[in-house]
Amino acid sequence: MSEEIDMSAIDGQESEKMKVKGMHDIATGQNMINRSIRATRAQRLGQLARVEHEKSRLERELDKWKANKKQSEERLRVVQRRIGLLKQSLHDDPPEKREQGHRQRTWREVRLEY
Amino acid sequence: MSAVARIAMEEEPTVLHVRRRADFVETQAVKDMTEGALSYLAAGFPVHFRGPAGTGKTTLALHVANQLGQPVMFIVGDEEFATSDLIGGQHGYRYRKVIDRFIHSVLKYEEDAVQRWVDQRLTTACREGFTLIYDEFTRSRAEANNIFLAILEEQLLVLPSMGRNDGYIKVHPDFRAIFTSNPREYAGVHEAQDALSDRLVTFDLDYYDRETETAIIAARSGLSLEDAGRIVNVVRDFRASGEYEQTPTLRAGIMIAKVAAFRGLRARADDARFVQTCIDLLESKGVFASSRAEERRAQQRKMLLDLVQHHCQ
Repeated sequence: MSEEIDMSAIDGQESEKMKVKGMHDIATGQNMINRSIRATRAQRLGQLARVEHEKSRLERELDKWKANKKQSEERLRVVQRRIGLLKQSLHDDPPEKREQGHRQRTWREVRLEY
Repeated sequence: MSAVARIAMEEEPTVLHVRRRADFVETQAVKDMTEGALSYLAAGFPVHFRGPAGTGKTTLALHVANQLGQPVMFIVGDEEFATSDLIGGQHGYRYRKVIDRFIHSVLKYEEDAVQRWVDQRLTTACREGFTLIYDEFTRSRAEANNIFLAILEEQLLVLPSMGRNDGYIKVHPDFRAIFTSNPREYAGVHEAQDALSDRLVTFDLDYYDRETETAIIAARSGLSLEDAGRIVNVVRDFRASGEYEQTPTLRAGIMIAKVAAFRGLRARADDARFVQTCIDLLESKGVFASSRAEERRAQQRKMLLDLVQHHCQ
């Protein structure tokens, strides 16, 4: 005997008609079964296990992103500090040296003995 | 000149790398002069070597420039010079065409042409901090040398303002200038501006002493000091006599010595070829245009023969 459960309290959104955006959204028998909340307790327990597994996977993924973000922020701080030091040293250079940096010219030589 | 060659000329200036010869004679007189000039240059003042022809002004300028250790730009004064010959000017055009098809359906096309400014030696020397030798600068008209007034005093090179962004160039702190000139009474020489002369430290050069001239002639020709000394005596006595239109200088002595060395002659009065060489190179210092030229030439020749006979026994 199947249990009848009022699913609207559990997930009201899924019980609404799905909006059709593409071929995947067209309601078919298989789609309806997969998207519905299972009626039997066993089916619901199975779905719960899968969803909790997905949750832990997403949490691990989120932790990894947070660790990467922290690392990138740290590297960004180091680079910004370096930029600040270089700008300061260029600003402190005497004007003649500033001009020299723009002119690394080469020239041709003619040797002359006197 | 092709556009590519012009661009190469602009991008890579040509400088002199001066070096003393192995037989360069540096007597105490030359050392003293060099040290004096270097001290003024180190203090930031330009120096000016002034003297008659054949007194070693250009050689001394090159020697001093060599001590500074910077590349050298060499300019020779010219009556035809204008300021643009010293600083540069607009020569030709630089064309730029950009065709961008990075996105195949979009074409970006740009084309423009701008006049190209090409530096001359003075501007290059001021920008890069080279040593400038301006030889015979009084051969140029005074107005052409006006540009030096601001360079030497305010350390500023003022370029023509034809839409240039860098109309004022701060002279490089390593820029140094050495000028040479003949005295005012020489033909073809303009009087230097007082304003420019006032900015220069002038060394008046005279003919070297006998020992220095002997050493130079021996070094340049390869003759012995004894033979070189005899030639020096002939030339110096001829110079002291005043019986000439062109002053017999050290150059005449070097020419006699080099020819003698080339022909394997000794400086002897009994060597007719040597005597003829002396006559050939010294007699031409006289003038032949006047009606008394024949008589004067005969007198001069007798005097020269007497000198050779006296010093080259």
